[in-house]
Amino acid sequence: MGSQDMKEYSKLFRYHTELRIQENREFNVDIVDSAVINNQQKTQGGVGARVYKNGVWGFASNPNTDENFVKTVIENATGNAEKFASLAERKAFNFVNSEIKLSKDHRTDKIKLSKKEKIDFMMKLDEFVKANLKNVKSCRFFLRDQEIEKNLITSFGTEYFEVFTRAHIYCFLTVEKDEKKYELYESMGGYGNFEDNFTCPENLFPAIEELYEHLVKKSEGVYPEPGFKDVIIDSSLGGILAHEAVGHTTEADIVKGGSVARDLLNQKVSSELVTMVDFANTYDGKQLPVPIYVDDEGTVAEDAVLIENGILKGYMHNKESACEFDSRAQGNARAFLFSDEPLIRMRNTAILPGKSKLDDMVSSIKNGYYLMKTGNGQADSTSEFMFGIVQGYEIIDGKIGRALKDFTVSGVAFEMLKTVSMLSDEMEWENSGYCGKKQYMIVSSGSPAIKCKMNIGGR
Amino acid sequence: MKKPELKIHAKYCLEKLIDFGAEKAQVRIEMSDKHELNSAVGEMSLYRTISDTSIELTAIKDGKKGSMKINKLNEKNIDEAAKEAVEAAMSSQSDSANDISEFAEFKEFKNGKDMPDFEMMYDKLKSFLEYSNKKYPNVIIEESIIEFNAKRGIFLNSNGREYCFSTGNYGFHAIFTGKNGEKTSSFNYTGLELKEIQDELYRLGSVDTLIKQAEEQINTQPIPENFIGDIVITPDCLSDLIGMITENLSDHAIYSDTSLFAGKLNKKIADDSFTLSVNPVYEKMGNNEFVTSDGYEAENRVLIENGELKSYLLTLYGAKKTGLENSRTKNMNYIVESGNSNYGEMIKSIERGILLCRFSGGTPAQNGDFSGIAKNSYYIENGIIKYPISETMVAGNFAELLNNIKAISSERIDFGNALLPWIQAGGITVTGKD
Repeated sequence: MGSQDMKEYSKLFRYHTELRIQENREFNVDIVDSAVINNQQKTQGGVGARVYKNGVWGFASNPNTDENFVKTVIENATGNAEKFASLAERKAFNFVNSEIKLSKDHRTDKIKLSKKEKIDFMMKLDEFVKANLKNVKSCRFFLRDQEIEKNLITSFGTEYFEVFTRAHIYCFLTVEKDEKKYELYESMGGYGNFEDNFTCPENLFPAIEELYEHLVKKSEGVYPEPGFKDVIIDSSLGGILAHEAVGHTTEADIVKGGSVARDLLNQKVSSELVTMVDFANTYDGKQLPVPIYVDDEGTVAEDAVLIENGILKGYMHNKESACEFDSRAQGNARAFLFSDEPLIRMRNTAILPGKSKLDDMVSSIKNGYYLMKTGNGQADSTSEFMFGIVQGYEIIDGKIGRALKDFTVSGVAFEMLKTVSMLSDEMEWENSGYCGKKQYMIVSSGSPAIKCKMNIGGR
Repeated sequence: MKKPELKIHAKYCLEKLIDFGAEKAQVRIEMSDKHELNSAVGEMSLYRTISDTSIELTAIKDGKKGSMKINKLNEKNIDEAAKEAVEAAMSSQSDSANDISEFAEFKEFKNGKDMPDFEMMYDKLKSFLEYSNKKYPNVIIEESIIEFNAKRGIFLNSNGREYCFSTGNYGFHAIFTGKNGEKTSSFNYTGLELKEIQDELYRLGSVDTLIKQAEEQINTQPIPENFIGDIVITPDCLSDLIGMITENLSDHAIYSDTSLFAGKLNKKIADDSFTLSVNPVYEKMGNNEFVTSDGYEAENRVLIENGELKSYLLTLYGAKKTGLENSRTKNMNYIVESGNSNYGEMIKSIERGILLCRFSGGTPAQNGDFSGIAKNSYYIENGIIKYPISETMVAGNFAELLNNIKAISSERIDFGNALLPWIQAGGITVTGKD
């Protein structure tokens, strides 16, 4: 693809219009017990246009990006908006627009590896497990190597080119004990291409060994005692909790849909220790795992402060909701595929670190749990959340105890956050999964370790 | 694109794969069109029409397999993709289970309309919004979508197997939340797939029931104390349980021997009353799939019959890997056979339990243990549904749950893509907040 001059098409824009030519590329390899069960390169691209007229939107897309198809897509999107506007009544807003021209290419400068080299890399990980880790019943390595390239032009003059990259290898190990099977996984990698993240297989061996050690302990572990307990949420888990349980309730479309956060603006929703921000692209002078500079509505991205010292300060917006809430769009309108319309999405959502040392946090708990990794999590409009915990430990008399078997934690985020009493001085970021709304989206989240109280489920 | 052109493209893809060195090759091309009307917070908001193409090229050489998936149907892109698919195969590992389906006579399948009725779609969505906004003023319809999806495609492989297919169907989804002052219910959602929409949307599936419940669920109470008791799983929630079952019947779970049901074919895994099938080609379902991913004519398949495991969900690869039978079906259109109990009688029989309307939990552990929040759910005591509950967790083991089924309702909800009853099961741990 590459950066494209799409200015000529803007002559066809009759109303507020976004035109995006985009291609999502992905190379997936799935190795299960030494067998390559999937080895696929996937490319999905095309052109999409969205047009705003009298308060309603029209959208159209096509996989073909030849000039005539692009023109047809603009015509169809315009026609859809006109047709819908002639039937439906909805309040129309005058959006706040500012023109920007920018290009951000996150591709590696390193020499690209071939598919064979990547598969061989993965097979070495598989061989390491077979040679070194005893009694592994099943072993799976899954590679997702992604690039998303887009050209955006808007009716208000913004032109933006971006290539986003991320690469992850997921390792899943299963062991069996007393005729029951136990699984743990680890994701390795992050922002950048495969070549940026994975220089040699040996670098990943320690993480796989550590995963295996946790898994063996888990298979010999115990179930936690149910109840409302003191817990330490590990830094690798805290960001996901912030995203799911708090972040979604502060997306303006969810707020309009009745989220509990609708009535809590400028009110105390957490301990004063907690500040939570949806960062655009940079924190502490470093580029974040999902750097957004301009969103898919053409808005220049800036940080959105959600909670500041315990007070709910704002929501995340698109252009339309920003008008409705008399607020400001900050670059949260994002679309996953060329055929997707932009929705309000998070970017790099984080709870900021505190001043405590993790060891001191663990020492401060007499009887509680250290929650390290989740298999899944969900939250809803009430901010009530659940997380399946697949890796965790007891904390007894200030010391890490036995490993825990799978269990679930739950709570109401805006109540749970009020119990936060310590935050560690280190934070961790991750961008390995997808956020699901109407479309998938790549997001990242970050957090320090958090000491709080949480409801532990049991059998 | 007309059918002959699709066939020409598919043949060209196959020739290119062979030209670049594939010993065995298969091609699947699908062209799709979607027409979608969206509402946001009870108002019409977006009309979206999207066209897309999916071209999947698979090459096998020396027992090694690779594939390429693109969405641009022109010679330049196909040439590159065919070359890359063969290169991907050459880069891979040899596996004797890699294969393509054998020769079969040409067949063509067609179901549903080619084009949507836009006016009908608009009128139905408008009517749904007017009804919901008027009848349930304390419920916000956060999002509702009515859509029409048309698909036409071809499957072709180097053994001469060729199928053409086309389908068209409507879909409807809604997400909603009860809201009164500062009080909010949990959100809930439901969906339908239909070949024709003849009735008002709120009268279909469980749409009206769930929106009504969202209004009730603005005011919730915790359960009085923790207990072990019964749950009644609603049809909306039952699909979660079925997902747990089918996950354990799939290729990966079976050949890696991590499934709870590995080695249990023709053995009892559930109560005698439980019969589950997948029905990709049942014409009364709202959507059909006629050709499996490995190129077999899809068949309806009974997975569990009277509690006995009758079939896994294995593809050609999974079958060759395990030596078991290729299931030749698609994991869709679930039907659970109705039982002998009336729903009302089922509730009356429960001393203490939960009407589980939505389960917020994840995939169970490999040993079958599950736990999660009972969302949008109700507390049952002495045979009466007492009140909607808050912060309540349910936990158990889903393999045990299947054997602890006490009753299945005679009534079922037809979602178009599933036909499901209420199921009562015992031995579930129910815990509230301390």
